[in-house]
Amino acid sequence: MVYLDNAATSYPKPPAVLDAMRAAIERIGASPGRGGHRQAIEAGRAVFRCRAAVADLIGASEPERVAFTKNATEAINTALCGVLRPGDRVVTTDIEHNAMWRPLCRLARTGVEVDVVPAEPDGTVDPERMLRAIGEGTRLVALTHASNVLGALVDVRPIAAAAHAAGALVLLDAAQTLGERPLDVEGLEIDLLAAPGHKGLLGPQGTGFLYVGPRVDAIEPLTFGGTGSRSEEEQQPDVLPDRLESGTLNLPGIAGLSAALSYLAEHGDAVRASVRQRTAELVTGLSEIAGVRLLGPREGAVRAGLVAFTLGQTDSEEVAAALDQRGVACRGGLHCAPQAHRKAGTLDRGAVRLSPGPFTSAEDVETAIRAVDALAREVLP
Amino acid sequence: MTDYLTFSSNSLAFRAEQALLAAGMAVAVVPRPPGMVGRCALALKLPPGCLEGAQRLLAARRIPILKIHALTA
Ligand SMILES: Cc1ncc(COP(=O)(O)O)c(C=O)c1O
Repeated sequence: MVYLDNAATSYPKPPAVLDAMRAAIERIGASPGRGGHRQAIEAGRAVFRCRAAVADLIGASEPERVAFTKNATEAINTALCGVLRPGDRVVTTDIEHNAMWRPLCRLARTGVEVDVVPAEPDGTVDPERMLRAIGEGTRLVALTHASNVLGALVDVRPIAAAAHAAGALVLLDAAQTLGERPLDVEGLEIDLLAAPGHKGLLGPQGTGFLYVGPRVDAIEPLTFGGTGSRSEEEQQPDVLPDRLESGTLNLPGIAGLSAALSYLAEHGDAVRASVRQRTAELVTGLSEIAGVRLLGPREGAVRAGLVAFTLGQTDSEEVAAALDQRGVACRGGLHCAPQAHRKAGTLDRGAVRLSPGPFTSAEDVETAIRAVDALAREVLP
Repeated sequence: MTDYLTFSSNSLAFRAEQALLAAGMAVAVVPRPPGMVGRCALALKLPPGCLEGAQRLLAARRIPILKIHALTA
């Protein structure tokens, strides 16, 4: 099977990830942050190592500002619900994943004003348009670094500068870019960064994090209690990361993520180069097939490691199922992002998304292209 | 006497441990020793004569110490 669904979750993981998870269960086992016995301390140390490695990766000087979550969705929800209050105004785009869009819709019902700036048809976001929308009274600018359907990269720097000039915070959803693209939260002045551990970071499912920058003076947790710390107090602790980490942490997952980050620290350049190369091969190969329409930026433009396409009028989930039969694992449908599909004009039949990972070979890409080509000849008139 | 430091979160205790170890100081996060007042489960144990050096290094790294405890070993 050729696995081309790395935008959903990366597979396979570096072998060291599995080893670290196994060691965490077999040799540490205890709950981090609960109790003071030596095994609990070792668990706490393992969690800290991962926190410090995440902080290092994203250019954050204080590891306490990294709170672990179970995925990017939880991190985005924590950020949105944690800082927005009725009467606040938030500026976003019309290509967001529903991990961003649904909580925003819910917050809109509680009196948060949601201002939506249209992205360009290829998924890029015009900074000028964002700048015009960001004004006095904007509390938060919340957007994705790259749409999981269109794949275009958003230029964050001017948007962050405008947000800060207006006194607003910036939330970036880096679900499709972290690991594949360098990101420096302090250099780019990103106040809230939400990311999964299980996609480009190559960690296990059940991992993710939210970075909370120093401009964020108060953030409400989504869940309360079970922090292991300050048990004498009735209120959730004010200190990070305890404030946002309720309940027992996912020690095996976090240990696995640590190993994945070590792998990336060593092989990151090769990983990024390989994903970029395979993505370019997919773009070139698919664009040569009659009846295929590619979504997102034109050939040669910068894009995240994913390529979505349609095949004539064929329903995308049928195409994905037929590719599965031909040995290619990929995702059809709306990819939790109906807005991005509306933009691309594919809301009715969705699109098929191929997303390579660091272990995808050139032969894998060729197999996939051949399978799409054969299918195109079969289904198109 | 042995000096112990406590911090406002476990994360900070481990960060202090990492910073001081990297500076060559043989510190360790340990279970709260008997006789320590307060509610911290963990403490950072310092080698003899290192309190001032540790304080200086942690201040430079902006790692705030919650409390210094001097306990008879
Ligand atoms: C842009 C974007 N945001 C958020 C998410 C949600 O990530 P997770 O599955 O880790 O919650 C995804 C992944 O599907 C995504 O592509």
